[in-house]
Amino acid sequence: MFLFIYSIPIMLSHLCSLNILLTFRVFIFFISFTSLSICYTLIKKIFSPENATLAGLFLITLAIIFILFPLPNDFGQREHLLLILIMPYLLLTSYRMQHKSVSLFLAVVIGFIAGIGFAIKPFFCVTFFLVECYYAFRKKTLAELARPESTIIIGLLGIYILLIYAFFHNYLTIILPSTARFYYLNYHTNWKIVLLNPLMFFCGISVLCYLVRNKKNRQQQLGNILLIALIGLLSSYLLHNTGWYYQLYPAYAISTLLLVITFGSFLLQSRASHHEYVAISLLSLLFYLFLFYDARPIPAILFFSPNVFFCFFAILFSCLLYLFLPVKNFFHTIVSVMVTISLSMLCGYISQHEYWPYYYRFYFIVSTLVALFILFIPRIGKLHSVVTTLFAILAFAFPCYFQYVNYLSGTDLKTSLEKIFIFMNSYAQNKPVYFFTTALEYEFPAIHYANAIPASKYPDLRWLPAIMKTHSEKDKDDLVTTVANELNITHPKFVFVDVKKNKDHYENIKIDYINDFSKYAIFKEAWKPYRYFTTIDNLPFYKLHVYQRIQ
Amino acid sequence: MDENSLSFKKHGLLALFIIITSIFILSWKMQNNVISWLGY
Repeated sequence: MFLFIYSIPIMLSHLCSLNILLTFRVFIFFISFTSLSICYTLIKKIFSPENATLAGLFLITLAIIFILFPLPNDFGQREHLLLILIMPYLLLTSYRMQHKSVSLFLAVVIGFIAGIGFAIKPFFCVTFFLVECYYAFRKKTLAELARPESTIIIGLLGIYILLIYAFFHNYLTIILPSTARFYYLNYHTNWKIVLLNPLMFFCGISVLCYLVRNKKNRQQQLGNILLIALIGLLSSYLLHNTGWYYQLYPAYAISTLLLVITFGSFLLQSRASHHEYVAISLLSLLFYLFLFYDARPIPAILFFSPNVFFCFFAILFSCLLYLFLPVKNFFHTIVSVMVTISLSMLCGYISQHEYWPYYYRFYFIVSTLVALFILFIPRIGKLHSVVTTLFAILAFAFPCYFQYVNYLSGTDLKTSLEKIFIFMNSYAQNKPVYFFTTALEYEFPAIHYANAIPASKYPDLRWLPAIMKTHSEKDKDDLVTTVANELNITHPKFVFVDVKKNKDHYENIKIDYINDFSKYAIFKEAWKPYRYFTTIDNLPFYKLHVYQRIQ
Repeated sequence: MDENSLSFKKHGLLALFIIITSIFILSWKMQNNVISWLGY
């Protein structure tokens, strides 16, 4: 299914003669915006008028998880599409739990896009199944399952399977068995890595927060549906058994939404009992311990970078102030935001001094908090504001830090690829190129950079390590034959051969692509026109021998 | 229209629009920084 979805921006880019990456980004922005618009319509129906502030907070969080959380490397990944496409369905199910109905047209549209989302991977259907089971359980009748959106989803999944069976028979008889045999063999990791993923801890603590505060939370039915969806999405992540971020992204995003509901409900509470303050303080402590466990030293979390640090606190304090004030006064908010940002900028300027110790920034937090409480929020309980602010800082520091680190990994990758880009720009523009590698992350940026033409039907040689692990000579023979045929047919001008000592996914298996493949006569013949040209390296990231075709 | 359904006030809606638009712009800019070698 995802290939059909991805073919839309490809077709558009061909039709409009636009860069494929630009078209793809616009496409993802468009479907995010469309989904967000439908969510907005449903949020207005689900949230009662007294929860308007929480509704706004929820909508903003949705926008953040749709288009900031998957950055930079997983924007448009299948799990990203899943979340965008099924979120209206989750909201609609929550709305129906309130014994309310929507127009048939809206239900059909939501069912259609959710059906596309669930059909992307078979693992995703677990979430649909669990949500429907929960809905039937709460309604205490199976007849309620026959809603327009669920009927459309089931119908679409059925038609999709039939279409594959009828028109893409090779997918079922060749690709699927091969994928089942080889694909996950490279990526399966041990359960310890899968379960000890920091995001799993974050999801766990967020769920705990939600459950501890369950009776006091506003929008309980919405929260419960999100919780059930979270269980389904976590199951999907565990079934993959790879420990990759993008596979955990939907669960991470939903747990952030649960956290926002918990936090917003507590903040908007006019008064709370001492037991509740103790519970929130203990949960804050749990977040602190998690931060301490996940990213030591602590300065790395709270003091990750002066700019991000001050932006985080300026935005957080601005939001808190706006939410705290019983009468939403924009003048107060604007003045306080300006004071906060001025303080942030001043401290940021001072922090550039190399002798300015990290802990001075802690004084900044305390002083800003004091300013905030004393000057702007005299009308609400001090204890309530202190506990809520501490909870907000500790709970939302992790998503901010995590996104920042992810963003840095993207910019670091760009820097590390500079040598390949220089070569591609000088020699390989608009020419067919071939990569003997299992590392996708530097191959395709380089190809797109030079508008080069990928000469292989495979994105890379990632099947080879799995084939070698299973000692399947026939499969290896087929793969090498395919590579040789592609060299003969497409005549790639340059072939980039990964010669790094420890190649990705091979674990302890040693491989020298050229020598190993040359044992096959067909490859030896196909390789004759190629001569060594140069070496491009930036260890430990990559080391590539470049061969040029001379005929 | 449901009587109990929420309707944002005009300035609230404007604030939401500005914040969400800013998030979209931030996302676009961050992507530009990561793939600036593509000529954007």
